[in-house]
Order: sequence, then C-alpha cells, then structure tokens
Amino acid sequence: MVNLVTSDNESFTVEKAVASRSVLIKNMLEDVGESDQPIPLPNVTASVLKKVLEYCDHHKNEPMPTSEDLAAEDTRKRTTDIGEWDQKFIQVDQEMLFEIILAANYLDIKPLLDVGCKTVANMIKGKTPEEIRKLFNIVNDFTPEEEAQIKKENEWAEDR
Amino acid sequence: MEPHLLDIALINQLPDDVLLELLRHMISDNKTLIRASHVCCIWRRLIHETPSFWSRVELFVNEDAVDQRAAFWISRAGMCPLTVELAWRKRVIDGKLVYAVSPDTNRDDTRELFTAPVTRLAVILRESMGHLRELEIHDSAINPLGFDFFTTIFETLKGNTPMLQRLAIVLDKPNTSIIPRPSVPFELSPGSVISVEVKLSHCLPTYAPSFSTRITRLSILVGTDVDQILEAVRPCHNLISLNIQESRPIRFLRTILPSEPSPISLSALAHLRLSRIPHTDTILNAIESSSLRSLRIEAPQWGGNMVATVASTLQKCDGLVELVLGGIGLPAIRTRDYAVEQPPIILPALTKCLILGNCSELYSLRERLILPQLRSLDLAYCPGLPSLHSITSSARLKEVRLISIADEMTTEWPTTLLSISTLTRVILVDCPVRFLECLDLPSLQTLVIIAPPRLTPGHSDGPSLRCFVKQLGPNPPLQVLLMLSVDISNEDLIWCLERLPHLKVLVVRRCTASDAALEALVYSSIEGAEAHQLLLPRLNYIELSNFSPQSIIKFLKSRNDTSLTRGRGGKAPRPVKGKVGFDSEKHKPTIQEIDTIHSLSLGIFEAK
Repeated sequence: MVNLVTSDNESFTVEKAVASRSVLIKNMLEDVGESDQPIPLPNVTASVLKKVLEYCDHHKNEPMPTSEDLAAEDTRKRTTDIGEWDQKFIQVDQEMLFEIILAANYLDIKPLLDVGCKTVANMIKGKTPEEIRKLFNIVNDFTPEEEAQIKKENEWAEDR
Repeated sequence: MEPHLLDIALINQLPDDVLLELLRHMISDNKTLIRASHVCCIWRRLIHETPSFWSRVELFVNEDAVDQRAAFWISRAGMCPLTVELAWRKRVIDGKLVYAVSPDTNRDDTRELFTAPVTRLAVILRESMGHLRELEIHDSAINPLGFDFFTTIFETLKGNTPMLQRLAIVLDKPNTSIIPRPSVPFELSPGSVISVEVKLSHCLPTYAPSFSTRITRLSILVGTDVDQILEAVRPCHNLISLNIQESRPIRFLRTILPSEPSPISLSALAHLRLSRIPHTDTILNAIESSSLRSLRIEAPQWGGNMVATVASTLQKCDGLVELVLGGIGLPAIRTRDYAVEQPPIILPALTKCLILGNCSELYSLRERLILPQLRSLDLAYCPGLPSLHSITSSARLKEVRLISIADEMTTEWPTTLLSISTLTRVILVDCPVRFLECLDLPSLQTLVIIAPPRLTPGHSDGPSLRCFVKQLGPNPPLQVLLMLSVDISNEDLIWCLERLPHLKVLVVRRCTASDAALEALVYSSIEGAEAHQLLLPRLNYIELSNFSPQSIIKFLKSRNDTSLTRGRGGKAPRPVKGKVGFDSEKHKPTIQEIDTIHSLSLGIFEAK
C-alpha cells in the first residue's frame, strides 16, 4: 500500500497498482524503493485527489500508455470520443474539471488529462468566440487594433 | 484558487502547457483555429506562438487578399512541415458559375482579375518550398485562368522540394475528352530518401525525372485511353502501389483497341488495383512485376483475352497474398454454364480471395485456382454448387462470406456432409439458408445470416437452421449468432438456442420470431420454482427488434436486475448489454418503458 498526503494534509492509503497510474508517483516509488514514508502531493487537494484516485482505481488493470502510443497520438488526428464510464466520471462542475486537469498534468496521468481535455473540447465544439467566452466567463480583452485585425480574419473562419 | 486570480476565468488560470494541451484537443481545422484565436489575448498569444497549429494552410486562390492570408499563416508555421491546399471558391449567381473575388461582385469573371493574385500567392508559397510536406490542388476544368493556373503555380514553385511527401491534383470531371497534362517541375536531390505519394483526378502530369523516380504510391482517377495512362505511369520506376480507376460511366467507354505498349518494369510494385478499365489486359500485359502481393481487378470487360491475361499474370505472382476479381453484380448466376479451362493456377501464398460479380469467366477462373494457404474467401453472385466447392477445397479456410449466391438445387448437390474443421466465421448475405444444410463446421464461432426482406411469408428458414445446428454436434463453440430478416418460428429458434450453450452475442432483428422466443430466455429466480435450465447462460450482448417492450423488459429484468437475480447465488446469469429496436407502428414503447430499458443498460434504436 502507498500513503499519499494532500496539500490540505489529508492522508490516502491506496494500493500500489492504483497510485502507480501516476507516472510521477510511480517514479517516486521506484526511486525511494520499499518505504513506509508518506508521499507528499503539495499541488493536489483532498477533494481532487479523491476523484483522481477513483479514476485510477477504475483503470488500474489497463495497460499503461507506452511512449509509442503517445508518439502515435501526436501524429494522428485527435478524436474527442470518451468512454462511457469516463463520461460519467467527468460530469463535475467547471472548477473541479479544471482541478482534475491540473492534477492529471502534475501527477502525469496522461489518459486522465486526455479525458479532461476532450471534455472541454466537446463543450466548445461548434461555438463562436463569444459563446466560448460566455461558457468560461472569459473577458474579451482585445485592444481596438486587435479587434480590427480579428474582424479581418473572420472570413477565414467561414466554412470551406 | 488564489484570491488575486478571482478576476481571471478558471480556464485561463491553467498553466500555459496545460492550456495548450486543451487547445490541441479543441482545434481540429482552420475554422476552429481562427475562432479559438479570437477568444481572448491569452488564447491568441498561445495559438500564434505555436507553429504546429498553422502547419495546414487552406486557401481559396480567388479569395480577397489570399496572398496576405498565406503570408500570415506561413509566418506563424515557422519551420513546421507544411500542408498547403489550394482551391477555387465557386458561387452560382443567376444560374451561372462565378469565381468572383468579392461575393458582391456580379460582373463577368475575367482572367485579369485572377492572374495577379494567383501570381502573388505562388511567390509567397515559393518561400516555403523547403518545408512543404503536402501540396493539394483542387481545380475546376473551367476556372477563369484555364490551364494558365497550373503554369503560373508550378512555374513559380518549381525547384527542389526536399520534404514533399504527397502531391494531389484533383480536377473537376471535364466536359471534354482532353486530359490536362501539366508539367510538375519539382526536383528531389539524388541522395534524397523521401518517397512521394501522388493522387490525380482527371489529369496526367509530367514530372522531372528526379521526382518521378521518388513516386512510390500513385493513384489515378481518369477517363482516357489506356495508352495515355501507361505513358503517365512509365517514368515512375519505383512504384510500390498503383491504383487506376476509370471515371466514365460504362456506356461512354470507347473500346478502341490500344496499341501494343512496350513493357514497363516496376520491380517494386506490391499493390495493383485496376478498376473499370476497358483494356485492363493491355495494362496487365505491359506491367512487368513479379513482386505483387495484392492484385485487385474490378469490373473490366471480361472475355477470353482478359481471362488469359489474368491467368498469365497470376502464374507469375508466387508471392500474391490478396486477390480481388470483380465483375458486374446482379443478378446472381443461377447455373454453372461455363467450362473450366486447364491448367490449374497455384497461388502458394494467397490468404485472401474475393470473387465478386456475375461473370461466368470469373468463376471459370476461380475454379482453376489452387489456394493451399487461403484463410478468407468472399464470393458474390455465383452459382451455389461451385461456391460450395470453393469453400471445401481450401484446407485452411477460416472465414467465408457469401453474397447473393444463387438458390439452385441441382442433382449434383452433395448428399453427404462436407466437413470444414478450420472454418470459424461464416457470413451469408442474401443467400439460401439451406446452403448450411450440407456443411459440418465443428469450429464455427460466428454465424451471420442476413436474408433479403420478405414482402410475403414464404419458405421458412427454421428447418435449415435446425438441421445445421444439429450437425454442429453437442456443445458447439458458436459464440456469435446474428440473424437479420430470417424467417424462423419461435419453436425453431428456441430449439436452436437450447443447443448453443456458449453463445455470448445474439442479434435477432426483423425476424419472424416473436415474444414467446424471448420468454424462453427469461431467467426465473423464484425460490422453489420448478428448476429449469437457463438458456444461453453466457449471453452478454443482444440486439433485438420486433419484440414488444413488455417482453423485452421482462427479459432484461430477469438478467440485469441484481435484486432479482441474486436469489440463485453462483447460478445467476451474466448481465447483458446491447440495444433494442421497436417498430413504432406495432410496439411503440411508453416513456416509462423507455426509461426502464435505459436503466437496465440497453440502448434503443428505431426499427421500422
């Protein structure tokens, strides 16, 4: 078993197979060897780690993505398909969604990072810049000069 | 989140590398790229600073300020390998095709209007030739510049293209018989290891020698004489794959005999596809290659010469792994009214063979083939008896697909069972089910029967299926049974299912079986109930249509509702997944029934 300690000082004891879905933790365990020392995760809160571990537990028996898989993904067109379980898992509010993405990036859990990014991509699909701003509460901070350039570029976004 | 970040949107509080990863998932084409760059300054900066987003440049050559757009794009792409796509934006105004630069322009298009921007665009693109990876030109045969368009583009771009891997020149179907032959003046240095794929529609370019020898994959869609096609292929000595398709409808094909061409040596050619070409035999006779692994000849004009040429080609291809011979489909040949010539043709490495089309010559040729390593066989529009012989003559066959095999029952039909111990997968599409009665397939794992929809009740397929299942023997390994439009009674279906204990996947769509058959699959968990053997204990996937919502729900509850299935402990059935369909005229489910079906893990489709 592995003991993980979050930024808000909560401890989680999980199977090694579950914790090792994180490449960061897996490498730490390999570096430290057999040890009862808790592993501090200063960038992850308990509520987020709980969610991340739920994901890791569900996928613990799946093969880890190899470097060839990752290289192949870069060369082919990315899809935004998400598995049924993952879709249900990622049905969370925006704040939690971005926290999960951040944690997946920090903990180096590529499949979880992909699920998070694909979810955001699906939310954005087909939306105009204004609709995207509204969806994420983004402020339009372009200068008048930039707005003029954007207006010129708009016809490039027409359907071919 | 930190208090000082409260004014910044959550998404924009992500570190740049994570936000960039998000944008990579979001941006699938130039339209989403531009839209995403218009959201806010952070997104715009990240997108503009990432060259890979800009590596695909899609341009309309008659668009306003196309050269400025090209420069904007290419400057952001940096040294990323580039894909450039050029096309003409067309509009129809008052029934007339117009290539006007401005959408408001309603005047006649003139050459002068287009020459200058196309030239300026070509000059911009020339700067990037060093890292051009793909060039795709879509042109109309009646573009306002005519052939000068190619001349302008290629003359400006000419020179070394050290990274070019793909060139596509796609013209609209021409109204004349003249095939454009633009000169592609690209060069590759002698030491280059780059191989180029070329795709052509309705044109046959000429190339610089250093370029033509680097072409390894060539695909041509064209409507012209074989002589011209062969001349276009001749300089490409290093082809690995060659695909030639005739574009004209059969009725417009001229049958002028081509001259006898001198041989074309393609020693590396592994894949050859010739589709709908009237003088396919001329091409086959001209091409010299002994390295073919895949040969596809689709709908040529089959005749004595053609058969002799194909036979001669096959005899030279010891390494052939895949063979596709196609004729014109429909209707199926009903009787074997052709002679089988000698000698036999042995293809020692062939593992996959497709013979499709109702030409006697094809089946005469098929019967000459000896295929000791054949694993997969597809036959279509063929008489039944030769099909049966084809299946039984290959000792290693694993998969068979039969499409529209004629339902002829001659006196020659086998009276003893034909056993094929290697066959694991059989697909029958629009074939008589009684075909199965002569077969003993002890290793069969998948059986698919797609019968033609019957407008009136007729001959039942049930007895043939019973007979076949009986021949499978006790405990057969069949795991997948898919039946579409099969005429089978409830009794026959239940009888068959009782003898298939390993079945995991069951699809019964548009068949005549009804609720009583589904009732037999319901698992009874009532303690003390009369013990009965659970049918299909390993079933885990179903697709059903033509059953009532009530019977579906009863079946699903008995299998998937754990509160009901827990009663018998270890003997509880496996839960099933899949989908069910309802004919809204016969069995329209209520909203409540739909919810119940969804809650029991099944999807719903419309089945009319």
